[in-house]
Amino acid sequence: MNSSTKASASSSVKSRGDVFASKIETKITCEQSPEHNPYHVNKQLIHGYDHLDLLDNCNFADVIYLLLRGNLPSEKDSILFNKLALALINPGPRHPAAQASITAGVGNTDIVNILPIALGVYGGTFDGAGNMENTIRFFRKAAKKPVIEFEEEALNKKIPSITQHYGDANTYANILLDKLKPYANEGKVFSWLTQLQALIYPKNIGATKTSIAAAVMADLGFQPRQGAALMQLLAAPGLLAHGLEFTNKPVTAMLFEPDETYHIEPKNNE
Amino acid sequence: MNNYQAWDKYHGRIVSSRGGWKIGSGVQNCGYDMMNDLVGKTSYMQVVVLNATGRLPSKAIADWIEAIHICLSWPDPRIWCNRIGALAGSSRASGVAASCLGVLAAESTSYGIKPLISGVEFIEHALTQVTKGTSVKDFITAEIKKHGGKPHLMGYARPIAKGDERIPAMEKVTKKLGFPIGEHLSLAYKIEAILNTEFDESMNINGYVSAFLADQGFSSIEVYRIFSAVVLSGVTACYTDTADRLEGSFAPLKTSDVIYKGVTLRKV
Repeated sequence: MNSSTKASASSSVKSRGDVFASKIETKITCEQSPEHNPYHVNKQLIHGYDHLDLLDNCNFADVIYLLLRGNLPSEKDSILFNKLALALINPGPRHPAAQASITAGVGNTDIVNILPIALGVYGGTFDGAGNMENTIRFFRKAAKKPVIEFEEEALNKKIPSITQHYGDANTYANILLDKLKPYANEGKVFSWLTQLQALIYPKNIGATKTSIAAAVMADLGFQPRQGAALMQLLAAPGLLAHGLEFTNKPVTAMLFEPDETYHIEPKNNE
Repeated sequence: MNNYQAWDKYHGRIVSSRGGWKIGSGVQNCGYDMMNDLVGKTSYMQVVVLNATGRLPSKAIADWIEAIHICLSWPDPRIWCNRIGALAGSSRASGVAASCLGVLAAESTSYGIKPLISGVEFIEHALTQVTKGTSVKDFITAEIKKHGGKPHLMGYARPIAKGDERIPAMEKVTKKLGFPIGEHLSLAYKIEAILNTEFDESMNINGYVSAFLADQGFSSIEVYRIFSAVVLSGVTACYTDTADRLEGSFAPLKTSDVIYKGVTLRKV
């Protein structure tokens, strides 16, 4: 048979008969409607708490914790979660995600697109959230074993988010790790990470913001699949601020490398 | 009170004027059977226009629109949307994210997609005024007055550089595909002639595209929708270039590359 005359069995299309939900289910939010309009809400519960009660009595970070974990944090966990949020709050203007935010800001991109752009770039694995799931999974298992067993693996960059930054161990991540110790060191995973850092940082490799976030989130009970998105959320304020700062600046405030510094590598198309 | 009936008409059902997939009987799109009427018989760009406007355009118009898509997707990471693609590659974000983020960036009032709305509306307004009897010169004078005496008419002048190499390229495409110069494009050239003489400014690609597509009967919002991903391919090119290089190596900045102009150290 000529290959162009073959007929696939796919020509007959039938429904598989899968039964889909007729209503969405959630454990997070319960909404009640007033009598006059079933699309309106007059009461909202978040994991059982009245939203207005949370508004009166909780801080922002605690309700983020509640939304993702299902319970309000203990006082100690609340402090730790807030400290982590502050540790991650500003990746700084040189971070590629902040650069993207600035580029969108100065380029007069619609304001509502600036944060999604920045967070999308921050979803990369270079000093961003991209490796969070792998990292949390690895750390949760590894922290059950003595840290010495992982030294060689770490030095060979085989542990997710244990690496170098621009060629050296990450200076500021090391400072943050030290700074978070009083709040986080009781956590099994964070403690394991600090012990690993003590072994490897003198050898010019070490923790990153991603690994710090992964350790704290693991100890706070966040699931690996929540980690990347939560890290994006916590870094959002700084990324957004740098983009918004440039929205009123002229286009010449952006970097635009002159042709003299732009090198096009030769390509042979023949 | 009790004014929600309009939404109840849509509650629990999907209403589409475009079409959809009925399992076993095929995919409908604006009255066409996609697999039998469109696949293999139309170009991709014809279906892009169909999806954006509900009307299947001629192959020639779709080819023209495809050509302008090439003009607006350059692999230069210094262009805003492309820079975001390059930064995403350098950051090791995903390729899909990078391309979409670049498209999001091009939803800008300075470049990309939004000026096409203003461009079509501008040339339609210009034609209305001139048809009513306003001279082209008087129209330009009034527009310049609106912009504080600067010749910043929508579709004319260009940021960063003067002149636009994309227009002669598209003029060749227009001629090759056999399109005549319509009344919007004709007026666009007359406006350009005056701006060129008096301000040394010329039409930019937005002005040319807007006038041509207005002549083809597309509304401003239809043009916006057709061109929603116009920069996509250039962003992808910039992403792939940096994604294949050393991570973090696109335009890396040292702390000394940033000038701090805020308040000096203070305590909480």
